[in-house]
Amino acid sequence: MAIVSCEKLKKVYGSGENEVHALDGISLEAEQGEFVSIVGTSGSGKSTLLHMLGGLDRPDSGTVTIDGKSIFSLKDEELTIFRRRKIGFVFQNYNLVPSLNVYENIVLPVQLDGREPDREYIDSIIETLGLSEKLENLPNNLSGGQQQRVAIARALASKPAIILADEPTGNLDSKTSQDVLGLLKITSSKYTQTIVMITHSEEIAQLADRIIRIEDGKIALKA
Amino acid sequence: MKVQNKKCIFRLSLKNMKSSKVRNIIAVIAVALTTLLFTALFTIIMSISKGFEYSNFRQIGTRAHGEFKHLTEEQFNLLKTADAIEEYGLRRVLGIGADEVLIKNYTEISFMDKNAAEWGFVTPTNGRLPKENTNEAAADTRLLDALGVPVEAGSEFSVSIDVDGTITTENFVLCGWWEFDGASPASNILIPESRLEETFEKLDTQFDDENTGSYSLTVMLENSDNIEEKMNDILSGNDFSTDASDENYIALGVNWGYMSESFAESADAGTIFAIVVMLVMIIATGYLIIYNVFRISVSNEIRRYGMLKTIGTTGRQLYSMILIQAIFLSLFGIPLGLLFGFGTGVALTPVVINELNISHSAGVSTSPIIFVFSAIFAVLTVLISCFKPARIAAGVSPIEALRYNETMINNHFRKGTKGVSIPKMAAANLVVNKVRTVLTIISLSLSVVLFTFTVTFANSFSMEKYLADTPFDFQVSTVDYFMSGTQWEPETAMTFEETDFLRNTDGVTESFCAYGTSITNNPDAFYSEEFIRSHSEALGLDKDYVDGYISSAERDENGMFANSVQVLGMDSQGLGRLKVLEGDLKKLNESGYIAVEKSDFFKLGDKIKVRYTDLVQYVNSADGNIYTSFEDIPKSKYADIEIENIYHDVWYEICAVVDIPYALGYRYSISGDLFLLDVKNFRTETENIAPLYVAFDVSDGAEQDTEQFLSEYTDNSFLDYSSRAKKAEEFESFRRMFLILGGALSFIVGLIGVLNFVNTVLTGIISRRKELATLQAIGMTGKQLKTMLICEGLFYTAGAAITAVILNLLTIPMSSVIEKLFWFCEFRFTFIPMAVTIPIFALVGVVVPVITYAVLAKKSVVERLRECE
Repeated sequence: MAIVSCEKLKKVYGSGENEVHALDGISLEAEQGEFVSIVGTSGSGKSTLLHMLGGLDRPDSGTVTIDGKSIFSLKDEELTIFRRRKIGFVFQNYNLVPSLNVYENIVLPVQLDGREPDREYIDSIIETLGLSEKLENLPNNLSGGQQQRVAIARALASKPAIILADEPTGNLDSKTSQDVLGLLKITSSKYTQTIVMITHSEEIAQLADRIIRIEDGKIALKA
Repeated sequence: MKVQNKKCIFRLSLKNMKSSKVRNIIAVIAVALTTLLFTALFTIIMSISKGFEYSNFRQIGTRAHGEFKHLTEEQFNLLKTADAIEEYGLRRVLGIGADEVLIKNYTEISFMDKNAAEWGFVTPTNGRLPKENTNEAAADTRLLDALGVPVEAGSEFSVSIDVDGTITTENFVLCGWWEFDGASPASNILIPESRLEETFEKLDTQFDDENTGSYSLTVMLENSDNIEEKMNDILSGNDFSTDASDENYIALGVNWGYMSESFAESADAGTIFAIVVMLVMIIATGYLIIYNVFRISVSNEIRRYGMLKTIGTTGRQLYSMILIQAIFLSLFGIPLGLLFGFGTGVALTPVVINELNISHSAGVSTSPIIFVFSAIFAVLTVLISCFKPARIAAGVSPIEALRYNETMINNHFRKGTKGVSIPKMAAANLVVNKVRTVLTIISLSLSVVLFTFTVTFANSFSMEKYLADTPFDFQVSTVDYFMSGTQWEPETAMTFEETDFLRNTDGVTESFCAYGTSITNNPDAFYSEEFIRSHSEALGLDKDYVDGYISSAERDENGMFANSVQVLGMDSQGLGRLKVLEGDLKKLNESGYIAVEKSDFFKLGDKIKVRYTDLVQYVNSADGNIYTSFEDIPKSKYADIEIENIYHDVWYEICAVVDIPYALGYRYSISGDLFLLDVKNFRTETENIAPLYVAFDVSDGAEQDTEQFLSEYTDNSFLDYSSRAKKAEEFESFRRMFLILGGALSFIVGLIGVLNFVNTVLTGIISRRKELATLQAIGMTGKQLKTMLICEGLFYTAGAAITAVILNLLTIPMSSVIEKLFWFCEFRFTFIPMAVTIPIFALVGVVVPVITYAVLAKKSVVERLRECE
């Protein structure tokens, strides 16, 4: 069964001459445990799609269903709460909170939800991602690869239904990119996580179970 | 290699500024407020200085730079053309008033031209100066009132004048008048020069007194530097001598009001210390905000500076870019500060001047020094504040700068793997920017500390202690007795009729009198050399001076030194008002006993000798002639004159040591001690005593009537009065001054603190807008975010409150110093100002984040996430 699906998503930015059809009726779905990568050139609409799937932005029309819930029926605050329970984000720039240490960053989404982190589970993620020695470091004391591993741990911490990764290796060299993606893949399969990743790199996209290509806000080819 | 790039750097710094509008506005306001504080301070200082100078001139009677005295008409006409004289005035004296009223109000009748009158503060404020060849005259209103002349143009009046020893009665028609100035030494009647000549002719005046009729040339020179030297040069340039023994000698007078220089130079160490403390405090206040604003802005833009360095800008250039920005912002801030600061100074100056015994009529100083100094101090503060931020920008490493996403963080670790809560996240953000947090908190707490101290200080003023010095309802004496800077003299003292009249006024329940001798006729007591030396040392007197004194001073048979002391005679009612520290005052009733005010030398039970002068004699050592009045001595004999007084010694035993409040003594002190006798025993030793004052209590409810009565009774006379109510008013107004000044200072410093706070919170939110967007993306609700930001704001407030409490508690040990400095203080600490200010800061701490967030939240999370990339 599809853990995440979207139906005829449309989003238009600007108006008149400057009108841009960022999304032009996209429909797709991903199964539990599946690793999907979405590729496209810049301006193809892939980032917009990811933001829609994550409930960060609302479409002009169409629906997104996550874990059986149509997310745009929720109010903003409800959506935020839904997001922190069901969706994990990994950003290109890692976007860690600079004033909190590695551990605090990882458990942040769980604690924002007012829950106690599942210590055993968190420890095992930390172990898998090789962060055990770095828990009290502040993010500025970590390399890019390490920061992205923390971001992945943070995304996994709340046992979300789906992980959305936005160019997770965009700021990393190719060796580190391979390592980080390897870890992402290992952890997601270990915890049967669904991953939707956007990237402009064919090479990176190849690591996914399935590749979806987007051009001008439309799905060009399913691979 | 030299490259012409100044222009480019200049343009770049100004272009760069456009992107930090909020910072610019806050920096301009910060610089303006700092300048405001400097300007207000300097305005007050310069106005006090001007007031002092003006008071001196009024006491002297003129603000002319100097005067050539006793000139003939030819000499006058010759000297007045001297190049060094910018402006001149002429004054010729006809004589002095000889009527009883005119003697009491020492009055000079003279001709003055327009300049002399203006510089002498006797320009008629109504009407005009007398016209030549008329019988017009101008006079001051106090004199006219005393003469019973209606103060209106055309009033006719006549006065007796002592012209060179001949008394003549002259009639005048009033043509102008002005208000008498209490500080002025004499009253004046101004007449035309023609009338002067006419009178001399009529009386066939011989001009025995060189003051009579001679030409007095009052001058204004180019400036007030080296007046005496310049005037001497004028004399020698015209072949006159400055040596009194020469035939062609011309006497000159230099206005010491210019010599003694201003308040600024004569200020005591305490005043200078207070001013320095104020300046340092203002610099610190300014530094806290300007440094913080620039540091935050540099740290927020560190990537841009890194980028500029990557493309080839040198550290030096980045350094000057920051300074150029600071100077440019000062160009807006400083003029604003000067303007508002001067306004503040104008508003506050009267509050201060009222408490000092100086002239208000001098007005607020508009000296350019105020603005020049304020601007210099402001620029100095800005530069000091920007050096470090500029160095940070200059020292940026391009690679590292690009690595930092937002602000620069220097910590690398943070303890704890327990996770976080909303308040903990807020605290973490404060901890991670330690310098910013600490500066903001100190800046915020500064005004709280100041305000608390001000209120505590004003609250510590003890009316009870203050009035303890005034153990009577009313006290009446001469103006000289009450006015600081002048001394009571027996010659002008109250008469016994006056004291008796006042003691028998309706409503008086108990009254007492004190009696004194003149400062020139003080008795002597005898001190040891050792004591005089240690005492002089304590007073900071020059050793050579003390040696000179000791070798020349008179010694008695025991080798003790005669030193002037004050002796106060009191009636039994008066003695009953004094606080006895040791011994028994009742013995004063018997002869042979004396009491002393707490003394370093004389102790209870001491047998002491007091020397009373019976007759002052000036003996000519050359021919043995004896003069009893200084005026009788011919000038040519001055050099041979020795003073040989006739005196008698009286032995006393000290029967009590007492505390004599300032208001019950002479109201001036000399180096010797203050002794106390029963007046009847005092009078047997010296005839030369007169009532120093009369003091009395009135029945309850009669205070206001008595106040009214005394105010009328002393109006237009040489008498004045003091009352408990007046003192209480004085006290209140003194307290008010501190509250107003301290309150105003605290308010501005508070504004600066709040501004600093607002800037920190605002920039803290704006620079983290991506971080905050991320937090929302990963699941922080808007409410949680707002709570976190409010927590941050409240933590600053809490930090400021704690700092203020600690700093204020540190002032408590100062309480004894304050009680020593201000004898009427009884230290009473209060937390009320904190209870008032902290909630205001807390409110700011809540409102600023909420508003900033509301502005921020207008853009969606996605937009915010994107815009920073």
